[in-house]
Amino acid sequence: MARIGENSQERFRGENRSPQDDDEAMEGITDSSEYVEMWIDLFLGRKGHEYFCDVDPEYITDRFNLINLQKTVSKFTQVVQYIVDELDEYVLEGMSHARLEQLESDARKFYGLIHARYIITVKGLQKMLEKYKDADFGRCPRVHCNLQPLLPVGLHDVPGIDCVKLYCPSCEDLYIPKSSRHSTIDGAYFGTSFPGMFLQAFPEMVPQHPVKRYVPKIFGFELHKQAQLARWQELQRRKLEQKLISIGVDLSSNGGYKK
Amino acid sequence: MKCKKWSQARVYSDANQRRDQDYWDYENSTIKWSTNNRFYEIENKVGRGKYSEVFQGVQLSTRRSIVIKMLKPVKKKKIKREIKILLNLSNEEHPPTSEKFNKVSYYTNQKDEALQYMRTYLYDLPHNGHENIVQLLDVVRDPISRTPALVFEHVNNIDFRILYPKLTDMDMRFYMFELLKALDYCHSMGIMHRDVKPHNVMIDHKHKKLRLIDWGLAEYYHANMEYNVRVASRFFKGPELLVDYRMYDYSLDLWSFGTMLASLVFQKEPFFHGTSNTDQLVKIVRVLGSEDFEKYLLKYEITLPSEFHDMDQYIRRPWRRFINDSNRHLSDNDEVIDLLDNLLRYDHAERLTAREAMGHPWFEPIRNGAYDLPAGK
Repeated sequence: MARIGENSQERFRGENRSPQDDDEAMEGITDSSEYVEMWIDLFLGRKGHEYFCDVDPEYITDRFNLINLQKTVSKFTQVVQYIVDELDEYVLEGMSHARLEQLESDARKFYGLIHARYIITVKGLQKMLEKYKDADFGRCPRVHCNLQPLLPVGLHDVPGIDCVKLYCPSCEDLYIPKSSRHSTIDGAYFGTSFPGMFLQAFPEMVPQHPVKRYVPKIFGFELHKQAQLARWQELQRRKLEQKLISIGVDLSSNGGYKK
Repeated sequence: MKCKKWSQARVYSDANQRRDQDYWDYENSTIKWSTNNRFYEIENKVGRGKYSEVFQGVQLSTRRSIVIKMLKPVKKKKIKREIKILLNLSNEEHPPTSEKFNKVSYYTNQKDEALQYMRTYLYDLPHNGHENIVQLLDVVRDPISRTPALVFEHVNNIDFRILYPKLTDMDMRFYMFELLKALDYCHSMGIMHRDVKPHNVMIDHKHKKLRLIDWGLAEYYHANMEYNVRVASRFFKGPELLVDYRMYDYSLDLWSFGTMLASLVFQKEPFFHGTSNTDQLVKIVRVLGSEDFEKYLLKYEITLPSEFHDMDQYIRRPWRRFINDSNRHLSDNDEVIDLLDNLLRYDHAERLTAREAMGHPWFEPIRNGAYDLPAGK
């Protein structure tokens, strides 16, 4: 089955167009699917889509998982079929260019929204764990976080509000993705709950809280106001540490997450 | 030697000769740097110079306010000189000026041409001028950045542009006397400051405390030695610097002092407002006149640099010409005019020494203790 529209054009653009290629393309339109990639794989291969994991087609086609997503796109059944490459060729061929484009963009949005649900399932978390271990989401830019891998997160669960952010489990803060192609991806495609769920599921992935911090200096001299505050904060931290130890809290365990 | 005619300080000319080589040979000194960066912290920036960045800070152990002067990368020799001078001035257990005055050992230059300028008045009592030198507390070098930093006492100074117009006649006599004490002390220690100007005179008016700061250009005086004339700040440069006469001495500081005094009593800041080094000399000659200027050049056989060759002739302008309605309460008095006249002389040998100036009639009320000082001083 062939991919039609933007994707198919894109697929051919970069390659040397020998007569053979044309033949293969022709073949593709008819019956052989050997040279055709799945929509999901194409989607994942696009620049900027490195944060996404592949959602099982079974998950996507299970109606139970799609409750309340129906109204986010028009002709949602068609969109689902399109995503899992089960849309009838005749239907596709009969579509106008504009309709095809609409379908493609709906599919991306729909995939994103299912993705947000999928990555907090057991299977999804497992897939994201592999990506986290490979630091696919980048590493924390904070020096004292020692290249801690990041986790994607949305600030809203509704699409169209804000782009994806990155959460550092070490300094427990949020960052804007370094590359602009990531900062155009909707935060709702990862959802507000992902990092929390992730660290709940894999508490051994929670790094030790870093206590080292930066105090500005000028030619080796610390700045009084900043240094004073830092000293006070350090004192408070130590006090708290002692208090926690005295009531039997194990500080070497991973900050608040069960092991 | 470039100077055709030699010259020697009238007073304290043997100050370094009388001391061990270790005292003045700064080039062969080794600085004992401390690495006590952690004892001090910066609060805010208070100034910036050509050679340094200056910050106000705290000494953590005492909570005392301090000043940290970070030295920009300059020749090691210059850093050594500044530190050695500050250590010498700060650590002297027996300041010569606090001991009984001896006129004979004061006027060290016994040549007639020097003795003829001795004044009838002279301050011959011990004084505490050493207290008017900014106190050096620590010499620190950060082991990482290796930036040298000098830690000083902090003086609660008010910018001179704000303070000076508010000073009364008596305030001025008092502070100028304090400044002379500082100069007499450093001269007695064989050191010329070479950058006397309002920016380098810190005044804590509440506590009536004056400190002479920035010893970065200061130098040891050795008789018949030639020095770099590219010192001091333009408005305060003495004629010897402007005509490139290198065998100058402590009396350079008394010129700068004189220009400060003139700007105070005539309320004209700065008093000689040159737009360049060349113009600076023109501004001086326009007041002191061409006649004396030529006598001065002749006496020291100075050939004037070519840029001055087309300088106009000026008739000496009497000091009283600078008196106007807004400064009359400060300037319309024979004593201060006479004092200025004896300080602002082309010929450095003619200028009053610090002690002679301190003995001048204008300072009479100060010497007699007529000035109210805060308790405990």
